[in-house]
Amino acid sequence: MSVFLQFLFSGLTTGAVYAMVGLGFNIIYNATSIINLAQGEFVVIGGLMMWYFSEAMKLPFFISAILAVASTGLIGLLMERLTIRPVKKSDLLLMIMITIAVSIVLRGILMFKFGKDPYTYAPFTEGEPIHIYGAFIQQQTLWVIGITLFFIILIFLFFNKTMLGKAMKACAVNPVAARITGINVDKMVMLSFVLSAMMGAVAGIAVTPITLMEYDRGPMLAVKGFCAAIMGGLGRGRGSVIGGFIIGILESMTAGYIHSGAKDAVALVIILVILFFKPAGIFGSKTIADLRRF
Amino acid sequence: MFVEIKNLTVAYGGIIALRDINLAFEEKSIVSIIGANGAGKSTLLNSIMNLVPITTGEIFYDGRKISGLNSHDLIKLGISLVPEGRMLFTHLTVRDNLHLGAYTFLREIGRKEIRKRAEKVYELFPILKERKEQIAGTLSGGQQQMLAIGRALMASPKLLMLDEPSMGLAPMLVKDIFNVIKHLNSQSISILLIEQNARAALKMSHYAFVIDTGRIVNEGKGSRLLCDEKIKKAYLGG
Repeated sequence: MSVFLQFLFSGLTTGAVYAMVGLGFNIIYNATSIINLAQGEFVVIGGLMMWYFSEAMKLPFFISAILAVASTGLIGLLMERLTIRPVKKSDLLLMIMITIAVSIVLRGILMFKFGKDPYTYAPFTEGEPIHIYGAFIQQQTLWVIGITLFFIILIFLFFNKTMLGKAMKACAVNPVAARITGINVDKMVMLSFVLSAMMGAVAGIAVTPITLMEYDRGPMLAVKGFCAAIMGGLGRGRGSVIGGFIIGILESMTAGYIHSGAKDAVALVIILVILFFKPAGIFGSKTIADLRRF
Repeated sequence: MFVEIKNLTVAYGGIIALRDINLAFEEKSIVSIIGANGAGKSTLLNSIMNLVPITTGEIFYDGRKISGLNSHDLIKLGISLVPEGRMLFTHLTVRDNLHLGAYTFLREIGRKEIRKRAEKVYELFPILKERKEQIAGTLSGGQQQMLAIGRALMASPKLLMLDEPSMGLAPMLVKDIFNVIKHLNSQSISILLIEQNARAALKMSHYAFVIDTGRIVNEGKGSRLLCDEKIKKAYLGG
C-alpha cells in the first residue's frame, strides 16, 4: 500500500507538470490552431530563469518568480514576432515545423548559457515531508498540484467567461471571420504565445525543486504534454489536465512496477492508441473535432 | 453620396479582379450588385472591408476616405459584412458568436449593452434565442445565415453588406431572409447586397449595378433593370 501511494504521489507531481504543458498547448491551439512544439522549452526556461534570479542574482523569491515568468513571456512574444508572424499566411503544418525549429534554437541557447548541468533551488516552503499511510509526500508536490489546479480554473474562466478569451478562440476557428467582426487577430495570436509561455514558466518554477532542470528537458515534456492535450481532446483545458495526471500516474506506476526504462514509452503508446481509436480524445467532443481545421 | 467608390482596381494572384470601378449610392437605400460567378462581386465587398488590398482607387464612406483603414476601424465606423459562406465561429455557441460581433465595442459600451443588442437580434430571429447555447456549426443552413446576419447587426451598422445571403437555402427561407433585409432597411440601415438570385434582388433594390468580368457594365433603378432585355437574357433566365 505504502509503495503504491508513493508511486501515486510521484505520478501526481509529474502529471501536474504534463497537465500544465498540455494547457499551454491548448492556449496557443485555441487562438491559432498551431501546435507549438517549443512548449517544453518554456517550462525549462521558467525553471532555469528562476534559478538565475533567485540563486545567481540572489533576488527574493517573489521577485525572482515574477521576473522568471515575465522573461519567459517575453521569449514567447519574441517567438511569435520573429518566427510566426512573418509567415502567418502559410499553412499550419509549416508553422508547426517552425515551432520545432524554435525549440531546437532555444535548446542551443540554453546549453550555451547554462551548460549541461541540472539546476535546482530550495523548495517554496521549508519543512518535513508529510507522512500518509507509510508514504511520503513532499511539500513542494502539494505546491505543484495546487498551482496546477489554480491555473486550470483561471484558464477555464478566461476562455469560457471573458470576451477576450472567447475572441481568442474565435481567431482559431476562423481568422477571416474574426477580422470581419473587428477582432485584432495579430494581437490575439501574440497574446496567446505570451500567455502560454508564462504558463510553461510557472510549471517550470514549481517543479524544478523536485525534479531538477536542465537545458534539454523540453522535447520530452512537450511529447508528454502533447499526449495529455490529445487525450483530453485538443482545445479542451479540463481534458488535458485529466490527461496529464493520467499519464503522470501511469508513468510512475510503470517505472515502479515494471521497469524505469519503460516509463517514457507509456505516453507514446497512449498517443498512438488514441490517434488510432479515438482521435477526438477521451474527453473531446466528436462534433467539435469534426468542425476543426486541424 | 453615402458610399462612393472611385476608379477602384483590384488585382491579386496575377489576375485583375476589378477594373476601374466607379459607383456611388445614397444613404438608407438597398443597392444590389448582380453578375455571374467570378465577376468580382465578392472582391468588391471584400475590398470595401479591406480584406483584399486595393491596387488603385479610393473608397469614401459618409464623407470620409476609408480605403486603407483596417477592418476593425471600419466596423467602428458602422460598416458590417455578412461574408460569403457565413464564416461563423463554428465551434462556439450561438450566443458567443453574437457577442463577438460586438467585440470591438466592448470597451465603449460594456457587456450589458452587448447583451441588450443580442436581445434585439433574438427578437428578429426568435429561433436563435431558443438555440443560444447550441454550437453554431450544428445549426441548419438557414439558422446559420440568420446567425451570420445577427452577428453583423451586433455592431449596429449603418451600412450592412451581404454576400450571397440566399446561397444554399430553401426558397421559403430565402423569402424570409429577404424580408429581414427589407425590414432592416426600413430601420434606416443602408444595404449593399450581392445576389445570385438576381430577379429577387432587383425587385427589392432601389438601385443596382451589373458587374461583368470586373467591370460595371450597367446600372440603374432596380425596376428599370428588371425590364432591360439584355439583363433579362443574361441574368434573369430569359
